[in-house]
Amino acid sequence: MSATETRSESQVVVVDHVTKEFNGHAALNDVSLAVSGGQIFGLIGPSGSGKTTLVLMMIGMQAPTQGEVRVFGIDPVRFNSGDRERLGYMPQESFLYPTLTAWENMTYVSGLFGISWMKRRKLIRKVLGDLELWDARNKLAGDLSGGMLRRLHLATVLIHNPDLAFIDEPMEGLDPLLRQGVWEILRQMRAHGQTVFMTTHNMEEAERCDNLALISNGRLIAAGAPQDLRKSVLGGQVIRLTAPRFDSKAYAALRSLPGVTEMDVKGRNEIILTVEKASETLPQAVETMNRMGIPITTAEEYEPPFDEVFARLVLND
Amino acid sequence: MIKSIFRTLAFTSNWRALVWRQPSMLLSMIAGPFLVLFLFGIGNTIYEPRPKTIVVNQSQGSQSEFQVTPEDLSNYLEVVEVTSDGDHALAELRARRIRLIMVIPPNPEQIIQSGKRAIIRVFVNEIDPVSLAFAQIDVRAQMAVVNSKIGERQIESLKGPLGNLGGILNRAQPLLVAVGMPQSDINNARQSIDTIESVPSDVLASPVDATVENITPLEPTVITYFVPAAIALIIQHLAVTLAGLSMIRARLLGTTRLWQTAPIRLGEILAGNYISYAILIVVVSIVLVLALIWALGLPVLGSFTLLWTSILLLIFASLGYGFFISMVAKNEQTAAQMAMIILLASLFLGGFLRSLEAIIPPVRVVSYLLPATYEGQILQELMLRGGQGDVTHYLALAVIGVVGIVASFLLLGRELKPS
Repeated sequence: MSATETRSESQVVVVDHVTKEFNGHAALNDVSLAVSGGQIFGLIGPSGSGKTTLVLMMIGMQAPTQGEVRVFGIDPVRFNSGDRERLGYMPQESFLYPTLTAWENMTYVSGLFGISWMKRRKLIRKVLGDLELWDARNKLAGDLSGGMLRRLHLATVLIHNPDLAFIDEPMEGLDPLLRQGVWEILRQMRAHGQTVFMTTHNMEEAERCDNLALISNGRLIAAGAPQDLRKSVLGGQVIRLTAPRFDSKAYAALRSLPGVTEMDVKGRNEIILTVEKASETLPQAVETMNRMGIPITTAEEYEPPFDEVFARLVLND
Repeated sequence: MIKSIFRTLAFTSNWRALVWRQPSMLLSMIAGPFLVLFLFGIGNTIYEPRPKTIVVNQSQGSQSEFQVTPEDLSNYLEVVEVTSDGDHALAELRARRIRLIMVIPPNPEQIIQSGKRAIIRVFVNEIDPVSLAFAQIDVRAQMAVVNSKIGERQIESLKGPLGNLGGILNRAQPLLVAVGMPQSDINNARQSIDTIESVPSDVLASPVDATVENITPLEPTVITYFVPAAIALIIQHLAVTLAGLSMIRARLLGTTRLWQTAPIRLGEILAGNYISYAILIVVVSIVLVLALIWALGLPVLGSFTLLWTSILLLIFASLGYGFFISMVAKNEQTAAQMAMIILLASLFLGGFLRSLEAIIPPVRVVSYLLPATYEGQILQELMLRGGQGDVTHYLALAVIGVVGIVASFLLLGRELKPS
């Protein structure tokens, strides 16, 4: 069994009918989900939806009021040192010393993870280099920009090469170029069989995850791959057609095509079709219109923005 | 095991960097207390100056041997004025330009001749009990001198007539024997007259005196007596304050979240913090103590090994208090306030200003809860008497330290427990 296979244990995280109450108010209500290893899993939801509470339970900082959480098959509240060595956690708020340099903070955190002095230097150099923080290694954490500080926090998660990293809003405060770099690092972790469990309220970032769980008002609304979620919301795949002018015969012809489940006329020159399989219906639709003498100017598979998908999921719930 | 060492020592590297970055902090921790103690040492004397006194003499003009003169009052008091105006003297006392008024009664000889003591009334205006006590001691000492001088004058005035009486006694001896006076009584009378004639009047007036010999190896001074206890107080306060703020700082920075998720154990967190702070305070203590020995000529007559052992125990015990405070205090202000209360308690109840025996037993319980109480006594014994210190004092420091570490462990465990 390879190292990657060892890491990619099936279902590294299992949340089973978990409810968490604070002073009688349910922050999470009967949430169940499972995360298999070796993937980037996104927990999305608006602020205050219960994302952080769920993560805190997964790392053993909070215990569920009802239900059960298992990480690596263990109740996180009962984690021992060995179990914790397999975990990384980056909270939204800073936990670094502002009066220590980036290098000193890294030394401190690697010490807390029991990394030897000899290994430490090499690892810190690599992680700071990967996150483009090497030049800032001697800067005080308190003097770093928001984006640099966020990357430094990420560096503290990566330093001990965890099997499972919980990262709360990793892209917050990063510019598009740096986001790209961080995504590259997360993908590399996945390639090494590591699991990344991230929370975000940014739908664009969420779409890049392998799997998602959507949470709103403490309740799990949906879970699955982004494409599957989109499909489930829209009732299938979506085709967008434009022409100088569609007439009633064209509407009827398109509506009667095989696999078309829904048609949305956006105006005289635009039609949105929901179909079972876009790759089959799209050529048929273009050919039908051509036969009817309607010149199609645009014919494409349409992917609505994910925040629209999220909004529909919340509304449908 | 090796990982456990790395985790524990993570805190020391953190602290080393923080202190290295702020040399002024380290400097102030050493230079501040040093300067205070140095100034205290060079600027204080144990003896109060002679109290300025106005003598209100209502018997001016009398030449009796019972008369009290201003010169009789100048041994322990500084007589700045002799007046018959009592109101003026009272005004001066109220204005605190003088500290004493002594009112000599009119015609004291008549009072004495009537078989009573002549009372000199003394007025003071003190709110400081220590100064009041000193004034009372000065007045009593001065009265002893006055009585002696009056006695001396009395005896002096008797010497002439007694000499004549001696001659008469010699000549009248056969007659006295003839009228039935025993020879032994005549001899005793002659002997007494001879003694009074031959012994100086001042010796007769104060025949007994006392000399005090201190058997300690050192002549006590303000510096030698107070500075060892002050060192104990400063080290305790430093440890309590630094440790008292430690966990609050960690809480504010969010570092406790990191501790909760990292593989570090509770014992390692506590040990790491104890070791970090102990190293810092040990360094400060070594520099402070050596600087005081050098600058103030502070003696260390006992063992240096025991000196540093006791300081280590003091730091251990004080850190226990500090960490306990940091666990129970909600914010930095409360922690600083609690550290200040411990400092004040140590100052007033730790045998620093007054001996423990002067504190009533129920209140003394508080004294025995404070590490500086024991360390102050150990240091004085070690440094000034060349002894080893009471072994129970070392034990008490160790016990306080152990109780502190156990309490901190339990409270930290409760804080880091999943909610």
